[in-house]
Amino acid sequence: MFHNLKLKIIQYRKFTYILSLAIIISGLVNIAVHRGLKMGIDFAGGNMLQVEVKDENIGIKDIREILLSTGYGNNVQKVDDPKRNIFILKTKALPKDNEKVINKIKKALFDKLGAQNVEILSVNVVGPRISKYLLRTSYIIGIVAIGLILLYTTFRFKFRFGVAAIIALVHDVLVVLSFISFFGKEMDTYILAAILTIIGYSLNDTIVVFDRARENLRSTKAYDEYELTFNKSINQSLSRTIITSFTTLLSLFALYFFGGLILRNFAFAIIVGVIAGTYSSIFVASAIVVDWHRIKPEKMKKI
Amino acid sequence: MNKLFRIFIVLLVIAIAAWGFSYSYIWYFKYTKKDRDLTNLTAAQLANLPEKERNKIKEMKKLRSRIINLGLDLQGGLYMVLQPDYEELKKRRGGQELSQADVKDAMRRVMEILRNRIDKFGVSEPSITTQGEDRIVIELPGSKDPDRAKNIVMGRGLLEFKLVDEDTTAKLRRDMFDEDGNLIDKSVIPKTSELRYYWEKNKYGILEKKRAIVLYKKTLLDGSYIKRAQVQTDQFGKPEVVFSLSSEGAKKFAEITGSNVGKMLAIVLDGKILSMPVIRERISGGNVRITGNFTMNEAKDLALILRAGAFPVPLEIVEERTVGPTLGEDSIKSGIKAAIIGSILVLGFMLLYYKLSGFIADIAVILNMFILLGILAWLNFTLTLSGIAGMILTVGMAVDANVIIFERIKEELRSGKTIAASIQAGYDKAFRTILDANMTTLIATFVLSQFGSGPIKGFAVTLSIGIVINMFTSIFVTRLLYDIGIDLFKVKKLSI
Repeated sequence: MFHNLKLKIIQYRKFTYILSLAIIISGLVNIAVHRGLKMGIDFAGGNMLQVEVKDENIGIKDIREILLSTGYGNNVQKVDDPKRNIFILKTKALPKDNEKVINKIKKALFDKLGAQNVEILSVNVVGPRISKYLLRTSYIIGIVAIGLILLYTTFRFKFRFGVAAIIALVHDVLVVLSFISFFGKEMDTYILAAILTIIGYSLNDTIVVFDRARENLRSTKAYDEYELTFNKSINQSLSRTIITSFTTLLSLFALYFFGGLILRNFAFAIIVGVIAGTYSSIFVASAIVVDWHRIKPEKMKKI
Repeated sequence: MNKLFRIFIVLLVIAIAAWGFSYSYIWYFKYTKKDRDLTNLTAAQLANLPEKERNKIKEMKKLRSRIINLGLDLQGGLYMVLQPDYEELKKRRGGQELSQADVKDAMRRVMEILRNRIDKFGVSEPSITTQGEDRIVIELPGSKDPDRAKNIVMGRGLLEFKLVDEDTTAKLRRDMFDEDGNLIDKSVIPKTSELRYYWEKNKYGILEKKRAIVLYKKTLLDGSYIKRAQVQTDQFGKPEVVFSLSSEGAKKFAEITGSNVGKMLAIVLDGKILSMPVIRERISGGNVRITGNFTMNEAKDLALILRAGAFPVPLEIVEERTVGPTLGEDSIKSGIKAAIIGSILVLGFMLLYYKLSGFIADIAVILNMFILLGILAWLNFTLTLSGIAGMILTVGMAVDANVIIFERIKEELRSGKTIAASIQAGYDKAFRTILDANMTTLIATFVLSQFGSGPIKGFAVTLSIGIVINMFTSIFVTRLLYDIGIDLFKVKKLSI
């Protein structure tokens, strides 16, 4: 479908630089306005009950009132499920004895709605010590993973390719974080796993394009052919880039729509990441290498 | 490589995977739920069964150690992280700092008692592990009654006998307490006494303070003297816990009862009053019965806790995740649904876009999943919801290698090469790209699987094993299928 394409992709890089910066800057501003990303109970600590109410007439307002009556705040969300009436109740974690909090909320729900109408689907308690531990491990995971990948790419490619790939990767992660903030999603361990998957995927995409460029550059002699060579490489690998992203997105959308509540945010983050990763391998990573060459030309091999 | 030898390798891998997966197949599809539940019986329950049944269960238990288990997010269950609170032990030692050996010893005792209790409670595949220096992770998948399991695990098991301070208790009035049952003015209680409660389960099964009782602080006897504990039914058929004291304990108990006839003796477990009978006479012989308001299960659990002994330090729940069975079932259903729909979409697209070559790629993807399941079974892996997510993502990413190869082959064909030469060149040129591309994902998932906990780990393990198998199926297997197909059908035009 895409053979013999001669799209002038690299030539549009000014426009795409601006687009990327616009998304990331507005995302970062949005995060700053909300004083950081919203942290889920995994990282912030807290108690969370997932409750199904069998009576359809009970709405979020009723549940919120019940929670208020226990004195543990009013953080209630309704789960977006057309067939079932499911709510998520959250409270801050006490340093000790969160059992008491859970029991009090359970009792209030049973008392006001009738025990037969309420089913406790899940209970999560994350004490402050554990959330700190999880947060710390997450930083370690992130740093170690990025460090190893950097090592691998510099080992396999020229330094400037490695740097461009890392910039594209940071770009993708920032885009995902921006969208998480735009849509008011919470950071939890699933999102962390999603972000690391995106790091892997983003590089995967970039590397396929770079591989092609490396191959084509071997037969490129002149300085001014550099940009054209990159353009050719992108066009040659465009079919693959688009088809692979498309099949990955197919399985991710299946996960998003049919995989259930718990995986929905996870799928959301990876979907954004795959789209960003596909875009950045072409418009960010390749563009940077071309610009780098313009400013400080790479020595061409003489054949 | 010789074609026959390549066929042999592929068949061998398939056979090993099938062998690994066959146990899981028998377990989940040949046995009924009732059969499977039999493997959760405790040693005591097993002893009552006929020899033939017992052998069958033994076989099943062996089978169970070779299957893919379902994580507790898929079958419901309890996940808890506990941390000992050493402050109390320190206080008991008169504020003295605890030595490394003290801490180690306490931890060892705690683990031993926990194992003891959980083994006798009877759940499938319980896991008790330590995390870091002093955290204990308990996983009880499939436990139908998480609250009961929690009581077994969390009960300190500290049994004490104390006399009731009847004078002070008589002075208590309802209006002296707030709505949570806490005493507003604590000066009512004399220094030598303490306020305790008689607890009862409310209609929802949640323990609640029923009556406030004042006890003398002095512990007359504690649970360390208990030799045996068992459950009996009294003349009205109500369950009661009976325990025998050691000879030293029996002597002490006789003295206590002898000198306090007519007074009320409270039996206190973990600070909660279980029962407070009036002492009618001196009790020698060392047999004590606790009658309270328990169900049979509660009485059994109490006897179990008393037998296993008390934790040397109180444990604190620092993390708890309880998944009800309904949510687990929902998760399996939606996970499988997403996997099927995702696979159909991806496989269907490949077939439409690459025709016969797409079909070859589809075979590779299906084989990939099958081998993945086989390997997970060999590893006795616990499949969680995130693991299913990893598999679904594997399907989407697995076709990547074939897409890269096919696009290359197309290019080579366009440049006028023969079919065989195009295939050869396509695979050769694509190999390095595929290797580089997969390596980065592999690094990310490998790090995740090393440091991550719970959901992250399941995801990372399935995705990384999936990627490695993918290198085999999408390059080695598809190439073989091409070669066989071209030989067999003398292909003139490649369907790609």
